[in-house]
Amino acid sequence: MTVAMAGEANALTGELVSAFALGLFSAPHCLAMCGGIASALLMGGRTAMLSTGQQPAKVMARSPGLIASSASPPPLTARNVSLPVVGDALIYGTGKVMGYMVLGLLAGTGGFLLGGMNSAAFIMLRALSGVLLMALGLYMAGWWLGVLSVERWAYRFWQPALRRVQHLSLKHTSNKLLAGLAWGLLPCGIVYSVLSLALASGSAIHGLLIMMVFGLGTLPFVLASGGLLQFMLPLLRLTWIRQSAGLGMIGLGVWTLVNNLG
Amino acid sequence: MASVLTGTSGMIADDAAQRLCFHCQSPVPSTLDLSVTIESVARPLCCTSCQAAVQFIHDLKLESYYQYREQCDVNALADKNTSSPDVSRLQKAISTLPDGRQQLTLLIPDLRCVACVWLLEQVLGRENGVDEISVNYATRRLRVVFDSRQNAVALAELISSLGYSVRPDVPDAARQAFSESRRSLLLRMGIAGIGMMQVMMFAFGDYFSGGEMEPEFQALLRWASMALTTPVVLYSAWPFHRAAFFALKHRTLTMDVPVSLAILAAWLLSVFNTVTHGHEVFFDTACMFTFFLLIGRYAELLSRFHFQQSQDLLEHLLPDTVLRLPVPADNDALNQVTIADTQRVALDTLMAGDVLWVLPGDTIPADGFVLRGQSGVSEAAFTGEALPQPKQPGARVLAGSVNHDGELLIRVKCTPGEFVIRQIARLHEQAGAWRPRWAQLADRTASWFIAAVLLIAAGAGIYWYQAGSEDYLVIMLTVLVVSCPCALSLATPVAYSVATTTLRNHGVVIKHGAFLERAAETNAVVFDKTGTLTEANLKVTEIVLADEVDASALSQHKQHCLALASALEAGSEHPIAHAFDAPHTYSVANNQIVAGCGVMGNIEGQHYQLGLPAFALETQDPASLQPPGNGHWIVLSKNRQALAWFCLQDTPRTDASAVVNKMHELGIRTAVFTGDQSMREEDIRALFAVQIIRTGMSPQDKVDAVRDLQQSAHVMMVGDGINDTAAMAAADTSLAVTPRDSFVQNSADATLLNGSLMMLPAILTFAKKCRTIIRQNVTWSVIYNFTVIPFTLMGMVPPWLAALGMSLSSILVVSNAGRLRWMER
Repeated sequence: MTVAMAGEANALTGELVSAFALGLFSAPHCLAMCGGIASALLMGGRTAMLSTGQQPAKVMARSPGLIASSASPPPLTARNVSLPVVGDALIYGTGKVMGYMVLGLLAGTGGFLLGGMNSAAFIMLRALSGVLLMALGLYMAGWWLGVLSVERWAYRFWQPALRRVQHLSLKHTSNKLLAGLAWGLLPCGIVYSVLSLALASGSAIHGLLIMMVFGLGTLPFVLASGGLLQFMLPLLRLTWIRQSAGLGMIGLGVWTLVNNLG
Repeated sequence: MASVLTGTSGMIADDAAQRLCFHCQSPVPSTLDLSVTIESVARPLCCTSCQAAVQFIHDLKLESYYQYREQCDVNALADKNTSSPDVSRLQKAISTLPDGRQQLTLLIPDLRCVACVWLLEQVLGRENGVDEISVNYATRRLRVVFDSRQNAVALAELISSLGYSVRPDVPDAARQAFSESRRSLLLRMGIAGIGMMQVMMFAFGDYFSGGEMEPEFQALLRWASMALTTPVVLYSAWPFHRAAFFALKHRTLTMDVPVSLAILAAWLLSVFNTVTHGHEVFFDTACMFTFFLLIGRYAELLSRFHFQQSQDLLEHLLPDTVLRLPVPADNDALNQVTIADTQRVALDTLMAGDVLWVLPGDTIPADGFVLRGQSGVSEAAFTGEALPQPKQPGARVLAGSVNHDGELLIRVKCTPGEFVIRQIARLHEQAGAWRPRWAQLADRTASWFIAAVLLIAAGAGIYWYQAGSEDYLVIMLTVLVVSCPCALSLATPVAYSVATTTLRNHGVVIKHGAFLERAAETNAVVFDKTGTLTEANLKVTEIVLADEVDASALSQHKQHCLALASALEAGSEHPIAHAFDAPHTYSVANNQIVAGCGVMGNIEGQHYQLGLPAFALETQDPASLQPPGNGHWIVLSKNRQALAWFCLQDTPRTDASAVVNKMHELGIRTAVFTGDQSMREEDIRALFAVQIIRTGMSPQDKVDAVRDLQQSAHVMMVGDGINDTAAMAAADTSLAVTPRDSFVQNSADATLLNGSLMMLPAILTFAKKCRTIIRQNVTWSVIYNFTVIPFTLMGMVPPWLAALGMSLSSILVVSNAGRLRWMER
């Protein structure tokens, strides 16, 4: 950033703006998708502890003992339930951001190797990311599902690695961290789009930073989504919301293309 | 879920409208054919991401997440029903929204974890006609909006079929106002946060360009920043401006004044420079100040909210309606009534003397006595002890406790406003709002402090301007924000409200706010003996009649005297009174309690007295004042002539000597001051191992002795709170160990409702912990303010750090106070 030319700075600002907008347009879908994973991770651990063989619902069944203890409000619950959940959330979240950072580092290095902003290969890549964005927008609005095949294709590379999580037992903190890391590596069109920004930064460190910032940005919403989810889902099902988010994303793609080629 | 997760494939039915993604529950595009096979049913997926997510969750063996959703299937739960919620109560919880839909607000006290929240949302969300559901774990409230296809009773039944108890959440003006301010603060924070991030991104670009950005582009960024910052300054920061305006209008200075000034100044200058293409803009600074200061506000609001919640829960323990019986004429009538005779009436219409029917599992709705039935009753709300206590006919029960096993018929003792639980709620509120004197002083001097801050900021600005620094404005604004004593203003009240709540959860009700402060200083504890170190479970072990009577009439005479004594003591809460529980039919006129002496009154035209010999008897002969034997004797007199002597015996508490030892370990002196002469000093010392013992004291002796002890120590008086009123008032602070139903009359600063003396050392330790935490909070806030200000003046603190430090400081103080939520027992 020391010898930043004005044009480069414009580009970087532009990248950051579009990263933000990207987050905005994709938030509804992120919430539903990653929120489910967050719930499963956080609740999975809890129910395992609660039930010890019982059906989870039975734990909640009415029994005198439970009523009695609930009549005195919550020092016990506050201590026994909330804190571990918050701790878990932080561990998984850290893992997830680490996963993104690994991706960002790789992408940034890739960008660097491709030889800076003006090489032909680079312009091609940026154009590609514009196209990818448009495809995502089309998918989101429900008009064309082509982007799924890209995701599927990319997932094929990851799948063997990701499936290694089945050897993890979530009792240990280090394993939770690894599960979080794997979570960050799950295929996601939005992550790919931000990755293209990381690639475009042309620097390993910048790539890492961009992905870290993006990851941090997703955390609060994703981890807190248990409550938000129900609020978001009905909205998410509204066609016009999906279509305008999709349109916004297509707009971003067009802007990236025009900015890049024009 | 032992199924194989397959990638694609699967035939999916054509009802596109109903297809929701198995994982994320978003609609699946109708042309997409992606699915996962679980338990041999193909379930649609919306994208590869979700497919990978399902695989991920499966690999981590967390399928129980999906199982949960399966179990939320309403049909599967229908037969698990427990008692159904009563319909009339629900009416209160239903309101009609402007658009004609209905809203049901329920309080679900036994919401235990986040999974419960999830379960409720899932189950209700599947119902037809349900539009919106929100379950708030922190406040234990559920809100459902539904249309005409649904009805409130069915929803409530559904919830109770999941095993939750359902109480209508009657809208309460104060609380509603509270949650509204919470909601609006969140919205303001959200807008400030988004604005801040965006504006900082723009500023970032400016920064990266090293000031070599093309002017047109820079101008564009500035205009965009202005568009984003304006709502942040005018809407998000509105509470600051508003408070500052009112403060100035009333010619005072509050913390809001410098804050509002800083935000407005940063914004106005930036607008000016944007329009005139001036040198610098501070939009990012204005946004950051707003956002971070709002975070501090939010932390404060949450801690108040927490207190409010504990208050609400106390109130909501009571049902809104009760099953009332027509008052039965006699015992036979009482035994014959059935539940069919009951009528449902509103709780607040109850009067003393009403007879109520309490079902097992229900909350006891009123203070009173058991007339019929036996049951275990949990008084956790009062004592923190969840184990049910057995209750037989004659036993006292308290509104807010939970009836476990059997049906009970109870007679109401007082009107709902006088219920112990309501009294506790009122006291709790009072005590939690109390602030130590120095904190009040700090509040009063705050405006001088703020005036100084404004002057210092102006001085700094002028200095740096004449020194030629470009950053003089930024430094000035930063000083304004950094010196705001937000954390200091939170340091004490938050700790107090948390501590009060914690103590209440452990069965300690504080009646005077200064209790905690003074308890922390206590280094001598004075115990009253009866009922404090002993069980106060006095029994009449021997009756000696003053006059000779035939052996044949002896027992009849004794019964007669016992009945008279019981009648006299019926109005007293003194432990001695509980020893006299014989059945009687007398009515007593002019019944009076003479503190430290006994009781008196007129029965059938004759004057009776019961108590110490010197009080009850009028005699010239000191010998006739001598009781007939060793031990604790009191005498019943008729027209001041002895009728009968009663020997009372008490048992020491099992934990008494352990408590005394614990006090010595804590370096606290112990003393027993008692009016009782029946036990010799040596006996008392042998039993309880206390250091100072004085017996046979009158109430005035006790006051004097307490004053003496105060010469060298801070004294806490521990008694039953009824007899030693004067000594309790004389001591630095006082604690009553009392039967819970006599809670109201006692005069102590704090009351131990569960009667466990072991709480005493715990309370003293907790008071010290509370004092330590308050000191930490105050020290931290003062040090923070006073170390950061010089650095800021030197221009070494960037604005973002100042704002961040400010909010972190508030959060630190609030979370440090949160440590008071736990009490070593």
